[in-house]
Amino acid sequence: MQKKAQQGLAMSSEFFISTLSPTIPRLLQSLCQKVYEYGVQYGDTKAVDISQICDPKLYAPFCFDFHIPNADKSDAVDVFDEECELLEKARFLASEAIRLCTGHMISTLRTRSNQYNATYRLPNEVLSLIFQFIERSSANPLCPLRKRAPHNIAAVSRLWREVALNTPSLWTRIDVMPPWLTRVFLRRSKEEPLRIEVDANELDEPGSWASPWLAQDADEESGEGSEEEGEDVGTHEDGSNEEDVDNDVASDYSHPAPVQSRFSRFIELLKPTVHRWASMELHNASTAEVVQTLHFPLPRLEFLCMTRHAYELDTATYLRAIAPRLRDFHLVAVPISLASPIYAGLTSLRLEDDVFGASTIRQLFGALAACPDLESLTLINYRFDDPHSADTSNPSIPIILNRLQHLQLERVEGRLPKAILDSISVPSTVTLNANMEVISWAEAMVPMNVANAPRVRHMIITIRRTNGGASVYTIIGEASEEGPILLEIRYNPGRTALYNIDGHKPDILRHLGHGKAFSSLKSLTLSEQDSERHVDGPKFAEMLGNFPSLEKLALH
Amino acid sequence: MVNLVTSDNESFTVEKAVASRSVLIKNMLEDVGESDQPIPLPNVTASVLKKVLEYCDHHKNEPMPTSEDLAAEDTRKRTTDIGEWDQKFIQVDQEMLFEIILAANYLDIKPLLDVGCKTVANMIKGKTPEEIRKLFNIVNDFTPEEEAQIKKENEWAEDR
Repeated sequence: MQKKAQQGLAMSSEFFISTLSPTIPRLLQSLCQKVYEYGVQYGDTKAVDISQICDPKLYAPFCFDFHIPNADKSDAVDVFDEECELLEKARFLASEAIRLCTGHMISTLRTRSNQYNATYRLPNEVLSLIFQFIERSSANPLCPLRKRAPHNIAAVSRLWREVALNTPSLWTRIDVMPPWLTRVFLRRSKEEPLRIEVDANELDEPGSWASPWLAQDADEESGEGSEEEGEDVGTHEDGSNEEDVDNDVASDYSHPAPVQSRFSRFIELLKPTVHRWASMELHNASTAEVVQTLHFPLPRLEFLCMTRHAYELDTATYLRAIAPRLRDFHLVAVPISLASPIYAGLTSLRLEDDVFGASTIRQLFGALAACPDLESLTLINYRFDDPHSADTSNPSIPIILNRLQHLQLERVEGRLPKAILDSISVPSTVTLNANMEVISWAEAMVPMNVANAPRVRHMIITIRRTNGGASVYTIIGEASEEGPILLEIRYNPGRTALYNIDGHKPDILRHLGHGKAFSSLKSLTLSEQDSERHVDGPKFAEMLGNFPSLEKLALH
Repeated sequence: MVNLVTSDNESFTVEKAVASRSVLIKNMLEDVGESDQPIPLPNVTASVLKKVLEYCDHHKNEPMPTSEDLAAEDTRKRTTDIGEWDQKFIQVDQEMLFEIILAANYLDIKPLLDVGCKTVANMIKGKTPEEIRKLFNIVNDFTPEEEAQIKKENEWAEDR
């Protein structure tokens, strides 16, 4: 029945086209000729009173002979109404046909006119290169406009649209947008690597613009999604490096929970293109949500960044996904256990704001051992499950990190820098930035194994008092007085009032340079910006003994 | 020295190191060997070649981009940043800007092509379709059906 109706519609469409096709262009052509001849202006109905076409006294009788067949059996008024309605429908068709026909004619002429435009002289591949620069730029601070770039470019003209649609890299940035549009981007980006940026808040806001589309799409795709999940579970049964994972946690994720959240649905939508995911930024998604969703291999992923607000509590968990090409991994307040297999082969690892201890120090060393090409390691406001095992967790053989150039330990537990430096072997070209929060001066130990110490020729030690009354020690080492900072070690009092617990003054200077680590130090400046004297003579003299090549000493 | 002849029949004698910034000319020189024969450049006018040679002269001592460099540009870190000198150099009217891009493309001078394309990209960035049309004097030539399709696609972006 439905097929018949469709066939009927197709036939009627042919009839209308064959009726309108020759008539409308002829009508428009003769009108154009006369409009030109008489110089008729747009919208000028006074000069040309077209209402006269309806006057039977002046022109041929205005005949309209069509009537609905068998009308005599119906009520006359209803028949008139029906015929009026028919006329309105016919008028709509005629005006649409004229609109489309003139639209196409105007479009053709404007395309010809554009041929004289400077941008049209550029070969398509050059125009395409320009478009690539627009999309790849990170300099545009206007985020919404940046997101609109592909739309804006593809809406300029027919040629620009054609080139834009054939520039796959223009469509590779996938953020939160309606699923139908996401599919358009995925199709247009062809096989190019994708850059995925998802802010779960945009997906989850009640009544947000994406909600209706996502809800609708989820209904359509629920069956398909569950089939894919079944396949994926089978491929990850043999997760390695799981011995450190709490058994309960591991068993929770051996059978991923049913995917429900909008975030998960969005990821499911992108999943068929997982072989193209090159970079991924996930903002404000809960760790559990991420772990439940990303339980399949990420074969091409090179950059992964997950962020949440630091004040949001989240449960530490194990990420099952394996990403063999992942090089740059950045987490902010997302407690993914360091036992997860994703911490392997990295060149840059940055972990921030995990104050609840998702991992143990031993797991950190395990992860570092799995990243021999690591170039940058940053831990900021990062706590471990077993802070007191820092001294005992060191591996028996130092982990060789020959490519490490940047080591930043900011707002970390006091013993951690020493524990890390004692456990790794790094080149002397590394720059070290350690900012420790100590709750006792006994914790404030200067790391002995500072790899770049022999390159330090100028050192500034500053002792100042904070507004809260606690002392802050800063040690800065430079290659020369104007040279770059190679070493920055800072001891800050922790949240517990240090000076109340520990009556005695810090003794860290005595250990500085112990073992003649700073063998090339030429110049030392000590600045005590504090009314209370912190450094006593014998200890200071003891410290100076550690700098055999010292030539210049300045005391402020 | 190398002798270059433009489409409007003007001759430019330049150092080989300068002319060789163009991969097209470099390959021609390698194919022909040592020769006093002028190299015709039928697609470049004198005013444009003068500008192009100014660029080549300034960058003559820089290493030529390798295929590895070009591949590296395809990473996600590629930006539209332009060096200070290049920015001043490319401050020309629109007509000349497109002529330089065309010449750089023809002469195969990738860094100059990038500078030109980045400049145009920076001009386009953050502009609406109508603003872009106005900027480059392009006419909207979409058919009514295409217009409807574009409207549907862009409806989503308009409120963002």
